[in-house]
Order: sequence, then structure tokens, then C-alpha cells
Amino acid sequence: MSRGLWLTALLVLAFEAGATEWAQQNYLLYCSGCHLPDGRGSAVNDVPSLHGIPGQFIKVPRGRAFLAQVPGILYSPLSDAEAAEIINWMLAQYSGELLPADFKPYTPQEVALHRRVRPANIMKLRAEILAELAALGVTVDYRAQ
Amino acid sequence: MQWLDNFMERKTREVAQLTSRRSALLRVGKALIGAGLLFPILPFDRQPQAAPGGHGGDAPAGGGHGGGGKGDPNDDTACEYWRYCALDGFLCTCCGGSISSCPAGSEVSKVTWVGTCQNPNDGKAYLISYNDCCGVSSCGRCMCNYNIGERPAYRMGVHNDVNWCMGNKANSYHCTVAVALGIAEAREPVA
Repeated sequence: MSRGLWLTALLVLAFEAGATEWAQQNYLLYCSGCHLPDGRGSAVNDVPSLHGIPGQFIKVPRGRAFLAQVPGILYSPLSDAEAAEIINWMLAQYSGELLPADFKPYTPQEVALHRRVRPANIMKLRAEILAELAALGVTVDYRAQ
Repeated sequence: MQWLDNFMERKTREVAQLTSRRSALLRVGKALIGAGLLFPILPFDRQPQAAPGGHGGDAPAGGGHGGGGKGDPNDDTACEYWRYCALDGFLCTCCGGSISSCPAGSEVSKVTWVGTCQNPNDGKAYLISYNDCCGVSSCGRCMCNYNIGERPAYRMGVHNDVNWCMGNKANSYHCTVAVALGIAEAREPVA
């Protein structure tokens, strides 16, 4: 492998590590107040746990879009790139075991597209996605933490 | 006291004869509008705006114990302790708790908000979680109100004027802790 390629690979690695770190910092700053630093959330307050649940949502297109349309992401001051970083980090961190081998990380462009849609009734949309998942045999337990 | 009654009656009649009711109404109206311009009629809290700190400002917005910026930034029972840069409430360190744990009998809030404060000892910014301690009536000691980086209620995730005990079963507010979650690093804005 040429030296140039090595350098590129190193840079890519460094960038990846950096992205994770930033994502974690932004998670702590913008999300952890309610979802808690360990991602367990608060089921009694309707703050979903991030363990497992988002990993199921990405199995259907509307669910994948939903993760970028939840109020905490949609109405946050985060840029599309930062939001994409957080979602990717959160999925790997808390739902890693559920991610399919061919999982494609969110790109800023994809997040921008999803964020352009503002669901009027987020709970109704969530119920529809849950029904769609249930039809595929995937159950999501919101009481679990 | 008969003379006072007579005097008042005479004066009142004089005023009634010399002025019209319409002019009296006019004067009362003018006085009200004038007062409205000079003083706000409805009471509301102008302290954050008036103080140099304000919402999102860089200076403290006053406070009780240790207020006025003279406290030790390394004394966690003083409002000026560096981790309290956006804490609005009673310090748990004055109420039987510690910088990161609630006093006995109270329960840590289920939801909270996270901000950053600069540690003057190493110059680094730290992520600070301002958890309220709940289920016991207000502590009442060491009231602090610093608002660096805090934002108005429409950005509730970085707002300190709300009772973060709202998510707990017993949601009375007792005091606030300031837990350091880690170091925050500055970053160039990402597109």
C-alpha cells in the first residue's frame, strides 16, 4: 500500500474517532438530560430507553426517518451533520446488537431530508410504525429500560 | 371633628362645581397612562435582564449566599463555585447533600438539563448535569442564581427556571446538585 493511501486511512480513522467523541459530547449535552447518560430513559415519563428500541425502528423506512423526526432531534439546534452523528453513535452505542450487517449509517443529507418533514402528530406516527413493525413480527416494548 | 366634615364637604362641592366629570376622567386616564409608561403595570421578573449576566450572559445574575461574585470558585458551598455557572436554586451542599448527591430523604430528579461551565483551575469546559433533588420541601439555604449559557423556556433543554422534579412521583423541589459528566471540547461549527 502506498504511503498516500496509508495516510488517507489514518485520517479516516482519526475522523471516525473524532466523530464518535463529538457525538457523545453532543449526546450528553442535548439528549442525556432526559434519556440519561446511560440511555435508559424514564419509562414512567414517556422518555423511551435507547436500548433496543431505535435498533428496531431502522428496520422499516418510515421508522428510519422517524429517528430523525423525534422532537429531540427535529427541534434541536443541532446541524444535520451533528444530528446524523448523534443518531449513528446512539444506534451503535445502545442498539448495536440489533443493527443488520448491511446497516448504512445516516448521512447529513439523509437527516436533512427527514427533518424537512415535521410530523403533525408524532405519537400517532409512532403507533403506525409500531403496527408496521408488529406486522413484520417485531415487537417493541416501551416499558423496558 | 365636625369642622373636618364641613371642610371636606365644602372642598368636594367646590371641586364638583369648578370641574367637569369628563375632565376628571381625562385626568385619571392621563395619570394611568403616564404611570403605565413610567412603571410596568404587570409584575414580572426583570432581574435576569437587568443583571449583567442575564439569560446566556457571562456574568453572574446575583444570588444569595456568596452573591456578588466574591465567593471562592473552589468552595462548593458558595454560589461562585465554578460548577454553578448556570445553577438557579438552593445548593445541596448547604442542605445536607454533596456536589453530586442528594440529601438523605430526597430523590434525584428523573429528568434534568446539561450545560457547560469553565473550570478556572485548568481552563477547560466541563459538561455539568444540574439535577434537582425532589420529594422534600424547599431547603431554603444557599440560594444561587447564575445563568451562564442558560436559555429561555422555549429551549427547555437548557432552561433552569423550571422544576426538574416534574418527572418524579413526589415533585416538590428541595435543592440542586451539579454533577460533572465530562470535559466538553470546543469545535468548529459543523455544516
